[in-house]
Parts: sequence; C-alpha cells; structure tokens
Amino acid sequence: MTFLNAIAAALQTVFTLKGALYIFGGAFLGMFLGCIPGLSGGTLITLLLPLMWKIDPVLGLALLISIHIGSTSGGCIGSILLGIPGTSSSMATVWDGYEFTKRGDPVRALSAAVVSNAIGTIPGLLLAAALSSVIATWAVKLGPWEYASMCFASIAMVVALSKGDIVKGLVSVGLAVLLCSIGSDAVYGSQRLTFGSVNLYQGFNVVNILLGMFAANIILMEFARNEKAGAGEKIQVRRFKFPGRDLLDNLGNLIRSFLTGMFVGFLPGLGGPTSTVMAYSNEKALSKEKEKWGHGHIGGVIAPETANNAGIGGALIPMIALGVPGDAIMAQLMVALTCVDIEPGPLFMRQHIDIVYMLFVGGMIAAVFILLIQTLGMPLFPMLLKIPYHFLYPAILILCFIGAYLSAGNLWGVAVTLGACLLGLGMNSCKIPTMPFLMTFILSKLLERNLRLGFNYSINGGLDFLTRPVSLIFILVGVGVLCWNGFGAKLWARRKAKKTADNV
Amino acid sequence: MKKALSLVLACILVLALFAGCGNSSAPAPAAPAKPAEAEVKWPNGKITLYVPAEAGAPVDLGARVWADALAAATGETVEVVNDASGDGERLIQMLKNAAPDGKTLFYGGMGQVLMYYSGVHQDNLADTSKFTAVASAIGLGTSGSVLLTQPDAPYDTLDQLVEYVKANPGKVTCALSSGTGRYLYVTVLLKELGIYDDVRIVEATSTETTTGLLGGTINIASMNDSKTPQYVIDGSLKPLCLLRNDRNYDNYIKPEEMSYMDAIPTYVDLGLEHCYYTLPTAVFGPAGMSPELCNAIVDDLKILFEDEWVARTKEQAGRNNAYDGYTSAEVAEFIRIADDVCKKVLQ
Repeated sequence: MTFLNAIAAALQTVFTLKGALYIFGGAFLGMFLGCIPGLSGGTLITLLLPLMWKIDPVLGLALLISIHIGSTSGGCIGSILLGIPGTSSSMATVWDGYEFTKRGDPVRALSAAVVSNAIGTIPGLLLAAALSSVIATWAVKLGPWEYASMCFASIAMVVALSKGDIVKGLVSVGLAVLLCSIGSDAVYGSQRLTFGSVNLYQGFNVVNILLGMFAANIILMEFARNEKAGAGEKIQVRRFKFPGRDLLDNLGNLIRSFLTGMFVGFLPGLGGPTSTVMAYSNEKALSKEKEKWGHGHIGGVIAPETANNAGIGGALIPMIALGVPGDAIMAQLMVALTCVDIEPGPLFMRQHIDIVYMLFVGGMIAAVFILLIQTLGMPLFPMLLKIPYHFLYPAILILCFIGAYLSAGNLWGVAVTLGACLLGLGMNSCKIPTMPFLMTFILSKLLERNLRLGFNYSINGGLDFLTRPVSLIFILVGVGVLCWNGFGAKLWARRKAKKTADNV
Repeated sequence: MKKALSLVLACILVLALFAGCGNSSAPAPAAPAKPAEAEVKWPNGKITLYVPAEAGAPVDLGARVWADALAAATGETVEVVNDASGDGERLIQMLKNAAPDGKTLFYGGMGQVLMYYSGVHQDNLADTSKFTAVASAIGLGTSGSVLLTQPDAPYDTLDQLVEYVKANPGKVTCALSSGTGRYLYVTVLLKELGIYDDVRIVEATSTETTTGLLGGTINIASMNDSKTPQYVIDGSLKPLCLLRNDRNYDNYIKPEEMSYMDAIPTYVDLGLEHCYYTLPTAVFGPAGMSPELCNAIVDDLKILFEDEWVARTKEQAGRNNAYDGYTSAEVAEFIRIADDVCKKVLQ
C-alpha cells in the first residue's frame, strides 16, 4: 500500500458512520474530560485499553488519538474560565488566561487558545507524517546531557518569572526542588526523606500538587474573600471572534512555541507539561512587555496552547519511526498496539501503513472537529460562569478532589492535594510566587535524572555536558538568563541612567 | 440557607462520585460446573486482586484477563485494585497482613523480588514465612530477551565482545533497568563472561535503553525478543545473543521474521545454559495458605483455561500472554530458584 492509498483508505474509513462516530465521539469525550480539573483523556484511554482486543485496531487507534487531541485541546477551557488547569499541560495557560476571565472577557483568551490549539495540532501532525523518520533518527542522538541542559535552561528562565524579586523566585524554586526530592531517587530508587512512610515512596503526584495549589488560589482566596460576588454579571457572553490581530502580534511567539512543542514532543520521555512550561518561560523572557505577562497577556495563552498541541505530533514521531514512546500517552498507544498484535518499531510504518496514516488523518480530522465545536459552542463556555459561584465552586472543588483521588489511585492523593492547598496559601501570604514553584516541580525530576545519567554515561567525568553542541547552547542560555536576572538588568539600567545624566 | 443547601448538594455529589470511582470489578459470569468432590470451600465471597501497577499498564492488562478468568471460573466477583505507590510496597504490606483465605491475592513477581534486593521493598515476596506462591500468572516465563548492540560495533559475537571489553576496560556502556528480569539476565551473563567490572553499567528505563541503543549513547543492552526482529531487519541494531535456552517463540514471532531470530545464538548454542532462569510472574497470597487452598485456585483456573471462552481471551490477550497453568508447587519452586539467583547476584 502506498502512502496515497493509505491516506485514501484512512479518509474512507473516517467518513463511514462508524469511523465518524469513533473520531468525533472520541474527540468530544476527550475535550469534555480535558475541561474537568484532574480528569483527562489519559484516564479515558486507560479505561478503553482492554476494549482494544475487541474492536477494529485501525478505528481503535483513531479513537484513542482523537481522545488525546480532544483532551489536550480542552484543557485550556478549565484554565481560562476557572483558573484551574483541566490538564497538567494547560497549567501555564492559567496565569494569563484566567486574568481575561477576571476582566470579564474570557472569549478573547478562549478564541486565541482554540485557534492556537489547531495551529499546534494540524501542522504538527503534517510535519510528523512527512519527516518522522528523519527527525526521529536525529532525536535519538540526543542524550541525557542535552535533556539535563535543556531542563536547566528552562528552570533558569522560570526564575525570571518571579516578578522582579529574584530571591523569592529562588525560594519558590528551592521549595519545589525540596518537595521533588521526597520519595524514590530519580535513578536507583533509593528512598529519600520518606521517614518509612509507604505513602511517600513515590513522591508527590504532580496532578495533586497542581490541583491543590490552584484550588487554594482560586477557590479559597477568591470565594472566601467574597471576591466573586457579582462576578457572573460582569462576564461577557459572546460568539467566537477570530483572533487575527492577536495572532499577528504574536507571530514569532506562535512559531517559536510550535517549534518548542514539537522539539520537546519528539524527545522521548519529556511530555506535554514540559513543553508548555518551556514555551511560556521562553516567550516571557523574550517578550517586550514582560511586565504584562501574568496579568492577562494574550501571548501567555498562545505560547502554552500552541506548544502542548504541537507536542502531539512531536510525540508521535519517535513512536512511529522507532517504536519509542514520546510521552505517557504514546506509551499507552503502544500498549494498545501490542493488544492487537502489533509491535511498534522501525518497520511499523512499512508493515502497518494503514494504522500510521489513520493516526495522522484521524488526528487531523479530530482537530478540525474540535476547532469547529469549540468555535460554534464558544458562547456556551462563559455561560458556565453565570452559574452562581456558591453552586459552581463546591462542584469544582469536589471534581478537583475526585481528580486527585483518581490520579493518585488512593486517598493519600486527596491528602496531598489538601497539603498543597495549605502550601499555596502559605506561599501567597508570604508573597512567594507559585508560578516558579509549579514549573520547577514539573522540571526538577527530569533535571535530576538526566543530570545523574549524564555523569553516569560520560567517560570523561561529565565533560560531555560542555562538548556536545546542543547541550552547550542550553547551558549558555541558562547561565545567561540567570546572570541577566541577577545583576545584568540592574547594570543595564544604571548604565542607561548614567548615559541619560551625561546627555543632560 | 443557600450555603446549607449547597453543602448538602456537595455532600450528595461527593458520595455519588466516590461510589462511582471505586476500583473496577470483573463481573461474575455464570460459573462452569465445579467438581462436586472439591474439598476446600473456596471462594465464598468477593476476591480482591492487588495489582502493583497503574490501570492500563501492561501488567494490569494481564491481571485483568486473569481476574476475568477467575471470576468466570468461580462465579464470584474479582475486584482488581491498582496501586503503584512505592512500586507496589503499599499493596505488599496489605497482602502480608491479609487473612490467608484466598480472597486477597497479589499479581506480581520477580520485579518485586528484584526491588526487595535493591532496597525498595521491606519484604520479599519469595519469603515463604510471609507470602504464599499460589498460581502462575498470564505469561509466566514465556518471553525472552536479546542482547543487542550497534551495527558498526567492533564485535559481532559474545567472544569478540569479551575480547574488546578486556582490551578497552570502561569503554563499553551497558544499560540495565532495575527491577526487571532483563536486569538479572544481563548481570548474570556479564558476571559469567567475567566482564562485569570492565563494563560501564548505567541505569536506563526501557524507553531510554531503546533510544540510547539507537542513538549510540549506550553500547550494549537487552530488549524484549518480540521487539527485536524489526530493529535487526531494519539494520538499526545487531544481535549478539538470545538470553534464553530454547527457541519457543513460534507463537509470537511473525513467520517472515523467524529466520532473523533463528540466526541469533541461544545460551545453549554458546554453552551458557546455566545462565538462564525462569523469572516468574505469579499470583501470591499471604503466608499460611494451605496447599489444598492453592490447588483449589489452580484447579479453578485449569477448568477455565480449557474452556473455549478462555481460548478466545488468550488470543485477545496477545501472543505473549499464554497461560502456562503450572501448579502452585511448581510456581513456588520457580520462585525459590529465581530468588536464590537474585540473592547470589544482587546481594
């Protein structure tokens, strides 16, 4: 079967009643679950895995990828409307997206997010279809040195997010590193700071921490202070408006975030949240309006939403070309494939071209369908906020704790969420920014593991970190950002002031 | 009033949602007729099967087929409880303290035993004073692995590898993944070849191993044999040795890939047959389960696995997941031998 035949066959299958039902149903369900904090398409995919033995494998895979795309695209709705991320990969969208809702204009942020999602997904899948073998062959040449340096550069940029107070930013980063070090160590599994408690063996689940921190900020702080009284009336309910101006103003951001999402996506094991954190911190660092980020800058919505969806195509690349999962969802897709007697590997494309192209074609059609339902249904989303907050917030809080329970698999997860809630409150009262904490929490385990593996793999005592070009570039970027934030900006301002004084 | 009403509604929603998110239970299909002469009255209520992995993980899928099988055989509900906390430590502790009535079982195996020797677990599943090996799991000891390297590596055989490593100590990197059977197989082989101390041993997950082998950051590592032929046919990797004694892979290697597998030497071909051990995935219970009770469980499963329904389930479960139907005594013996190896190699 040639690739044109495979595309034609995929289109034929998609446009049967059964095919449409699988793809549209999967995309819709994924989007619905993606909106709800703590739940995600991953939960549904897990539940559906045993069904793979019983359904047509081609359609089954299309169903799973549609759920994944729906979930990734739906995560922004919770982030923008409620200030609580629907999925961990939409976490960075909260900081700017929710500010639009506070101003009463969630539709602007939602419109930008919806279009950014489609821009991330469709070209990402097209690139994956066209270049997967080339990109994958290059991607596997990168090792723990590059991964660790990239995480270091990202954490350095995260420190820059601490709104001017670098000391409090570093305190926040340090707290995250401390909490991340609890549990099994990142390489050999030795127990650290667990005090013999089985509950701490695995460390803290990132979803529990996210839910607790955001619930603390949004629900306890706003609802308890009665800040939400009358907020519902302020919300503008209007139709989707194409965010042409916003996209044009953020064209560079869009392209860079897309590339960041693809790049992180095709590096095995990094995952969606990492790409959004990197895209957000990178774009904030590059923005000319840094002070507006975190207070409702549309670039802060476009960057993470483009990156997390671009990561879908990126993560498909190593799976299809080499049988290496790009992220946790791709690992689940690989399990689904083995359920139907297919072993993904370098011959996957040649032996099962029908399935490969169904993943691409089905994914793109799911993305178009999601774009359509999100644009047409746009007025419905802000209407949710018209529900009186004394009904809405308890329901959200309950869903958060259900999500916490489901992600941890036990009630300890709920306790961790409550603990994270308290920590969030404490950090707020001490005016320690939570943004660097959360971003570092996502990145620091990756940094630790890859840093240690880098030293283990090196035969020259870790010199590889500096001799491998990609690794060196990331290290230089990280050091540069830290130096600039530490004293560069002050020196620059002093020099500028001196120059002005001289001129006068 | 409004707040009180919302509180009541919230409580109702919590109760309803928590009721809905209990662990999944295999429904109890009609039980086939059981032998009237069964001496042990088992089971007489719901059976709980602990699975030390997240729902959807490969081991969980096998456990669910096993649970469905047991439910169909006994007519009782088999509840699968997934909890990966501490790599299964929480469930191991719960199993240890459960009543030995056959109604609390654990689906795990050598992974947990290996992790005990790595210091992750407090108790050893192979310790008969604390646990009882009950039955074989789906796919007990059926799969193998292959030691692979890059196609341009300056060695094509194990002998050449030994020679190269001895001439270049510390230059060859070998990836091992703690808590897996492959960790033990490769460690035993390297020690047998006398090159364990000259090879750089690095830790890597399965994904990191494949990535590292393909990218050249890792020189040698093992990979599941069902995955191997694709990389060999494609020319991405070169096989050095099949880490098993037999060639019983007909049921899961495709016919067109068979010649590539047949060309890889086994331990028997290399005179290393003593390096192979069956590392069982099995079902365990707490200590004190009587042999009669264990046999009753195995008998139930045997009845079921001769059934047409099961044949279909096995087929659906994939090529690697055959049920081997060993007796509990045989399973216990496999575990004892494997535990001895772990003790010798890892302690």
